[in-house]
Amino acid sequence: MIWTPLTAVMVILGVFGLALMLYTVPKAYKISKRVSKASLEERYGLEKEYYLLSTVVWVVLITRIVASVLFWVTNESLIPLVPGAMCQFGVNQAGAPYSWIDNGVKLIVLLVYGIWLSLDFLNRRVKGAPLMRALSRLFLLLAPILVLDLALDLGFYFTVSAVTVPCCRVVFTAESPIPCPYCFVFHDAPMFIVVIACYGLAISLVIWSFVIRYFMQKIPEMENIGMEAVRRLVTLALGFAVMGTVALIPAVMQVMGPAVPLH
Amino acid sequence: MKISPPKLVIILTALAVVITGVTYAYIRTQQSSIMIEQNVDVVEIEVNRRTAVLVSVTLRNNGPPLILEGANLVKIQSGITLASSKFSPPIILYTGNVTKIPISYQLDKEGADYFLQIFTNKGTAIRCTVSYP
Repeated sequence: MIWTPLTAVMVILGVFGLALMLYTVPKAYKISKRVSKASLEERYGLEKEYYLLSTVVWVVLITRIVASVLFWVTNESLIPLVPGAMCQFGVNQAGAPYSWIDNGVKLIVLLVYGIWLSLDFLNRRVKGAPLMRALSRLFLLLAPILVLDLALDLGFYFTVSAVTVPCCRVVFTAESPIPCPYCFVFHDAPMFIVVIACYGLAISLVIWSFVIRYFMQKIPEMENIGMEAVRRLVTLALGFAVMGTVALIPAVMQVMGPAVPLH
Repeated sequence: MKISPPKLVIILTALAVVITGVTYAYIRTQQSSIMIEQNVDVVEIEVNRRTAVLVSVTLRNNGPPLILEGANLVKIQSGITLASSKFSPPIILYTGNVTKIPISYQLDKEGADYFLQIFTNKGTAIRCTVSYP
């Protein structure tokens, strides 16, 4: 393991997340099992328990979303510490196989965790917490991804060491039809970070709005607050898509590079 | 026809993917369509390893005199032109002469492979590969 302030933060976030998972998963299981058969009094108790669970899950998911952004920053900071690494490709080689799977997981965490967070946000605003059972079940469904996310982070940062690695120059040569994505986005055309982030957020917001619509059809009490949320999410999504499109102009200019000095 | 905001988001995203793909394909086509100058040998490439700066390139012209107009540096791993400059005044490569061309291009400190291309008045380019470190 290479100990730097950033890798230490990633490990702490991983251990913290795993510890909270051990608390939340059994509680979510209990609520999902009992809530449908619960008496009014028992339901009130479960509701209180659910609010505590929901608060902890918010902490877990928000820290995982922060960790997913920090992941790229940490990997970038490790480049000078891994001999032979010229970009994040080399760092990933040093932390293989965990790193490669972790890269894929990190691309979807905001989208997946955001579904739960947006639904819970609405659930807290509707009387009687009608989504309590659905959200507990959804959290249990998310648990494998969350465990994978946490375990891969810990596996990766404990595996990565200062070993000499072959970097992207081995894979991406002059004949390669596609560029090294890490060199392309993080080093030579960094405006694409803004473009990808904006479009990623826009697509995530649209998908969250579709999920809210789905639950609005199932639970009529949610209709008013749900419609308002859908309208806001979609407007925000459109805003991010427009921002991404605007950022695409300087990004494309970065790719085009300085004019070739031909007569 | 009214397009709903979610559809608009999907259209804009798809458009961005297409624009990026087309732009990249365009620059790759532009780079591969450059005619390579056959009569010039690259004798030496000088890199300051302390500062990671490409300092100069020494060329020997085996053909008729050539006028060099400018140069650029393309990073092979990303396919992007990182630096470009025009020689003012243009540099003349006389037949049989060995000429040192001063260039000052910053290279990535972490390392990468580059194509250094020097453009002639004939529309051709002298191309050499620079690997750093």
